Amino acid sequence: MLEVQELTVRFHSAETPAVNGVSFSVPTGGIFGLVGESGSGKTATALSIAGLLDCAAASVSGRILLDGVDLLSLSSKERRRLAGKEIGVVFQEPAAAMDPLMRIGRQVEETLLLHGRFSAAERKKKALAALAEAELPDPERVYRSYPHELSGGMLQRSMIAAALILRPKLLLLDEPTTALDVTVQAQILSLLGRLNAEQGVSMLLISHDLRVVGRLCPTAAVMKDGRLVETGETEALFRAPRHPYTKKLVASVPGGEYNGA
Amino acid sequence: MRYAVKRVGSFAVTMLLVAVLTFAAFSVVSGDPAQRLLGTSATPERLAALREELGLNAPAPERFLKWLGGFFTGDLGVSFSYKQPVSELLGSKLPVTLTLTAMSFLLIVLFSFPLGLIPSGAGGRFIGGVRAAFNQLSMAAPPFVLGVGISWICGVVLRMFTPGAFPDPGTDPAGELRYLLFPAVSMAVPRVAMTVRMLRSGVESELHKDYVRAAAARGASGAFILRRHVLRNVLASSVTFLGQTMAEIVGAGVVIEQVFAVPGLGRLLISSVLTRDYPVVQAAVVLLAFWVCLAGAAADLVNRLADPRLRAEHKA
Repeated sequence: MLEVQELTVRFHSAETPAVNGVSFSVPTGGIFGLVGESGSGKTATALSIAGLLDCAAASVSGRILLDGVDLLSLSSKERRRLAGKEIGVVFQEPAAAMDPLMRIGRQVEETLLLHGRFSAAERKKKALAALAEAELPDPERVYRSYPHELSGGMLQRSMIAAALILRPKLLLLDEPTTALDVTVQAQILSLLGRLNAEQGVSMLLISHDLRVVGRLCPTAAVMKDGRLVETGETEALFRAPRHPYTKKLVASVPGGEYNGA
Repeated sequence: MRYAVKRVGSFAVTMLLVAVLTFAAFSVVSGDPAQRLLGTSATPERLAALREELGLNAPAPERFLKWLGGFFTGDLGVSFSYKQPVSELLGSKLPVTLTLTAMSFLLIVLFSFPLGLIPSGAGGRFIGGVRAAFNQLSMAAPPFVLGVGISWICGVVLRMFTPGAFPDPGTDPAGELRYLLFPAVSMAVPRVAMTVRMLRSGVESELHKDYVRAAAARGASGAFILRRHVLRNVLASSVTFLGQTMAEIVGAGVVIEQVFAVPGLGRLLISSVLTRDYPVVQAAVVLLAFWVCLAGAAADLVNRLADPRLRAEHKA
């Protein structure tokens, strides 16, 4: 359903491209993992799929096909129509990704305000349902809360609720658990797994952490310096890495406890 | 509620400190007012009589308490040089100064907000350059220089008003407002430039925050994000700045009233300092300080209304 072909992202401020001829695909209803250390170009990849790269700062070439439509050929207005509706994004820092002066409910509903006509009552109903779906206890209270009143885990659940409120086809997860405590990380990952299974939303999971990708993604790719060095089934990738960089990554996991999918 | 009590408490303590310092500076340290009033050739009998009349023989703490009470009873003594009750004297000048300050503040808000919040890309490079130059120039020019310039160009050359011919109080309110417009503009121009700069950098830094990107990921346009998210955040962070601006206007007003011959509190203050009219000086200083503190308290209050994080901090 998502096919990235020869994606190249060049920031005008840098000499070498941040993403260099990257190709991979996310199967319908599947979860694809993208692993790499910071600076490897994984976030630039996610941002160019989401259409969030500033055209003035970077040039993007290649093809990004969402159900056969090349996103890079669309106007910015057409892309905005897809953002939030067909593609949801969850960011690394849930506390920073929320407007500090606005109640959670209004931010979760914002997608509804931007796409289609919903009455205030409908918006609230849908937002409460989405919050409940993200396994937040007492959605009414969360709906009324300001971001500073919630924990990181609750905020990330709210972000997931906001990203999924219109049931998009694709969910981009950019280091969704990196800023969270280990126990909360595990909860968020199992929530994502459940949502994937129940709603059938396809996911692209980006992480520097092999264990995170190993828990959730049947297939994954390893990224280094803007290129994909190895792609394949996660299990095989981590049990028998071929590329030296993948070997290094696997060796760096403490105790080797990246339980495959 | 607890916050309100605390805030009023700190307000009261600040004002008390201002009062003590003012009283100490003028009544205790600066010598014998009776001597100054009568000059060095005065006879000891006359000096003693005047001291008695002015109530200077009582110990300082007693005089202080009596003076402080005067702010509540309205009895602040009699001006040495005008031979008029101080409260009456200040009461007639205060409206002029308040009007001037309010006008200037209004001008600052009215001009800097549209200029600061309209996207900086608008107008192209040339206009942007002109704007930057104007900004630098107006921030560098002290208000009194600007005041002299404005009163020369608008008053002498263009004859839009007659410098020095402020209407008699109460006879011509429209004329007063018209006259006050020029000093108000002189005070506003440098601060408009500063406020625009503050707002611009505020917008710039907010635009780089994650929540802006998150809103864009939901399909929000730049204008939508600016309107719904960025403006509120910028406004919340600029309230403190505006409170300080208000305080600065009060200080600048003292000088600008002098430049434009506006019969307000500032002008009265300066002339009273020159004639060593201490009862007037003391009361005027405390009054101006009260106004500054009030601006600070108002800024705090608005800040709390705008930012839920501040409300939470004080609840704990």
